[in-house]
Formats: sequence, structure tokens, C-alpha cells
Amino acid sequence: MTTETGRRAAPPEAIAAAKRARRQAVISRLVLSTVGVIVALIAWQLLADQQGFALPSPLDTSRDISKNLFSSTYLEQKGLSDGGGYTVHLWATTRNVLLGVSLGSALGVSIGLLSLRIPLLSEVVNPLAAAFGAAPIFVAAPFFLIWFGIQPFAQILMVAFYTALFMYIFSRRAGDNLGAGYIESALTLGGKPGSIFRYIYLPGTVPEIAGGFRITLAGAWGLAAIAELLGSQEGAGFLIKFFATAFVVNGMMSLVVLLGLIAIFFDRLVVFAFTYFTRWSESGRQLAL
Amino acid sequence: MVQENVESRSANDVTFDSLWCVFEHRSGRLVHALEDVSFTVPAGQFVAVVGRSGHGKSTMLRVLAGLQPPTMGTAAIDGVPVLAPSAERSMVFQQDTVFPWMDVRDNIEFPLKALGMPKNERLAISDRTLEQVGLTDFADSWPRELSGGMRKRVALASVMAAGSNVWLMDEPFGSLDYFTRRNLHELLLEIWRETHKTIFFVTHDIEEALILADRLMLVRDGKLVHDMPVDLPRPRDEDVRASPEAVSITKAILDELGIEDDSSEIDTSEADS
Repeated sequence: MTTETGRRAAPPEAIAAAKRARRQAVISRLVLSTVGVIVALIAWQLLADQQGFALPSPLDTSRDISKNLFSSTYLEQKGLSDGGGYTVHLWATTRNVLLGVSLGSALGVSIGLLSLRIPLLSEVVNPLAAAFGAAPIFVAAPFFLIWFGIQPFAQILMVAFYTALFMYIFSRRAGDNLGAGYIESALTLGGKPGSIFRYIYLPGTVPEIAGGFRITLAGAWGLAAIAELLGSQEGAGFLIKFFATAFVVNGMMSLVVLLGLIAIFFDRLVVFAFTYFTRWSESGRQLAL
Repeated sequence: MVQENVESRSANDVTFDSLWCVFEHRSGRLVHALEDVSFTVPAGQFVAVVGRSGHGKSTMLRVLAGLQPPTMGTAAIDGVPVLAPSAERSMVFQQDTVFPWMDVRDNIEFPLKALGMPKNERLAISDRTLEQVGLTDFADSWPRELSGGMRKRVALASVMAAGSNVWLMDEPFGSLDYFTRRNLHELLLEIWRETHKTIFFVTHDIEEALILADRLMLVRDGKLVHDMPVDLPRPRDEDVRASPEAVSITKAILDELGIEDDSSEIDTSEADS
């Protein structure tokens, strides 16, 4: 039997050169990222110098964070922290986002993928998704407040609602974009609806769903903060609103920065997880970049 | 030595009985993809379906696969009408349909998982099939790490593992270079000789049809215009394909498919001058 699979082992010099090139690419990325952060900090400092009180500098912000992150006399005096500083409110927002995004993603992805197999489902859900997806959170939030009050449950539900909408659209599109050839091939290999859903649709749509999930998660931090800002007794959004009314600009900036850092942390976690699940694809490799 | 794989289903004759496949184009024009096609192919025959692009070859295979219902008439395996896709009639497609999210072994095991086969049995079959197609060392590779020819081997291995008696191959090697194609021709013929599967092989490459098939079906404008045996000795190397018998088959194909023979054009022009 003839095969085209035979390969000579590469010479050590070629292997070393390939490894060197890979190492250089990683270093270049790290250097570029560092330079990007430094440039952003310099720009922030320059803007702060011009704006004065309205925009705290990076140094002022870092001082405020180190002073109030884990305990804050000011917040305790105002009755806004139970001895935990900003962390109490950051945790509340993180909890709202994680629970809301988990719940919404499970719902949105399930309905999105199931609607590929059940056309009636997509006929019902598509117009609803289009209608509710067009309603901005400022319109939806008052309804949630009336129905569920200012409890964390309302904020979690609001994040879950928008996450489900977005993830439905992303997963539906991922399923539509999965080549018909894969489904037809699976059918002629004896695939049944159950095995095709499990072995073809689910893994085949992961890369596109992963991209949508990252966008949705990034947006969820903003959604949660807005939801808290509109009606809540805790959370980063609630505290930012309080600081705004009290002109505590340092505190506002600290919370924005901390929320951003938490969002980046979870984004990297998601990238790490999805890179593993999509290691078979080029896009999966690109996701990590 | 290629071994018979899995729980091989019983050998079956394939029949088309006055089969029509008509589509309505967006413009309202009716397209006759297949027009009153009838034939019987006994089990174990290697049939090449030859014709120009867009003349109904692939539709014929899709009807047999159960992916395209006929407008009229029946396609049947051993008298049982084809109504839906099944592992009884597995297909290797022109485009790359190897599942990129499964490694090579998982691709081969997909039809077995769909059957609900226990892991140890799957492993035994995939080991054997990997060896048959020469991919044992690549069992854990992702399809993106393989060449186009190796991915076609994976597709072939999946069909073998499925245990189908009828293999439908829709220009499977069309995108590959000449040398890889020749390797795959040899592999396919070796497996066919050992397993006696019924193979429908769609191609527009006359040379490929002559190398592989023992029966040629020529399709033109959706009609089966000629159905002829290929009685050339095997293996069909360059000498066999250059023999007067092979040349006459080639000329017959060109005549039937409406392609002018270049030499006759030259002769005519020279005579005219």
C-alpha cells in the first residue's frame, strides 16, 4: 500500500529555529501588550493633568484602591460597607454577572441549538428575540424593578435575560453556519438526531459560540452595573451612583478600573477554557491571541 | 490484507426504476436533474458515473443516499425503497466533510458511536480500519494536521467502519493532486477487491473512471445516455489505458457526452483546406 504519510524527521537546527520563532512571537506579544498598557497609563496621566479634579490620575486611583479595597472607613460611616470596603460591592456585581451569564447562556444556547432541530421553536423565538433584543436596558429595567423589586434576583434576572437573547442569536447563527455537508455526512454514516446533536452540532458550533460568549460576557459587566445603578442596594453600579451624587470622583474611577480588571480576569479564564475546547480549530488557536 | 469490517450488512442490488428528479428554479423554470433513469446494479459492482458538471451525476448519488427524494419513480436497495439516509449507503463527499472537531480515531468511530457500540468493540474496529487506510500513526491527529489525501483516507475509513454495503463517492478525489489521487485509487481498489462493496463513483475524469470501474454510466442532461461494461484487464496501468479497447471506450464516452474529438476537428479542417 502506498501512503503519503511518510515524513523525514526535521534536522535539530530546523526544530530549534521553529521553537525560536514561536518564542519570539510570544515575547513580541507580551512586549506589545506591556507597551499598550504603558501608553494608556501615560495618556490617562496627561488627561488627568489637564482635567484636574474631574479625572483622577492613575496614582490617585491606585492610592484610593489600596486605601478602600478591603476596608473603607468612609463607606462604613455611610453604612454602605459591612467592613469589606469596595470588595463587598465588587463581589455583588461579580455574583450578579456570573449567575446571570451562566443562567442566560444555558438558556440561550439550548434554545438556539434546539431550534435548529425544531423549526417551530425558531418560528416562535425569532420574533421574540428580535423584539426584546431591540429594547434597551433602560426600558426593560423599570419593569424588572416593578416585578422583582431591588433584590439581587432582579439584577441577575436582567443580566440573564439579555445574555439569553444574545446567546440565542449567536448559537443559532453558529448552527446555521455549520456546513450542511457535515450534517449530510453524519446522516449517511448512520447519525440519528440525538447523535448528530451531541457529536456534530454541539462541538461544531463551539468556536462561533465562544466568540459570542466573550462579547456577551464583556457586555454583561456593563449591564449589571447599569441594572444596579437603576435600582439596587449593593454592587459596583450602585456605589458609582452613590459616589457620583457625593462627588467622590476618586472612588468612581477606582470602581471603574477594578470592574475592568475583574472583567479582564474572567475574559482570560473564558479564553483559557474555550482554547481547550476548540484546540482542534484554527479559530480556537486564534481565540487565545 | 484488508479484512471485512464490522457487522457487514447483506449484499444488495441497487435499482433505479423510471426515476425523475425535477426542481423548480427561482425563475419558475423547471430543471430536470434526472429524467426517467432506470438501471440495476448487482451487489459488488464498481460503477463509475461519468458526465459533465451539472448534468445530474451528484443528484443520482444524493437520491441513492436518501438525501434527495425523487419526484417520481423509485430508488431501491434489494427491492426496499430508499426513503431516508442510512449507514447502509454511506457517502464520501467532494468537499471535505471529515469532522474537524474529532481526531482521526473519533471520526472513524462516529458511525459506531451512533450505533451505540461499546467502547472496546469500537476500538478494535477503528484500530483495524486505521491500519487498512495507513493512518495508524495519525489516530490522535486533528484533521487540520493532515494533508488533503490523508483526510480523504479518514473519510473512506469512516465509510468502512459504518459497515455500508453501498458506497457512494461523489468526486471524492477531485481536489487532490495527480499522485495522491493515484495512491488513493490503489487503496480504494485494494479495499474493494477484498470487501466486494457496491461502489458508485461519480467523476468527470474519464481516466479515473477507466482505472477504477467495471461499469460506466454516462449521464447527460439528467438522462442515462449510455450504460457500458469496462472489460479492460486489471491492474489498469498506462499500457492498458493506452490500448485500442481503452481508446475506443474513451471515444465512445466523448461521443455520448457531446464532446467533439479534437483529432476529428483537425482532420476536418485539414480536409477543408
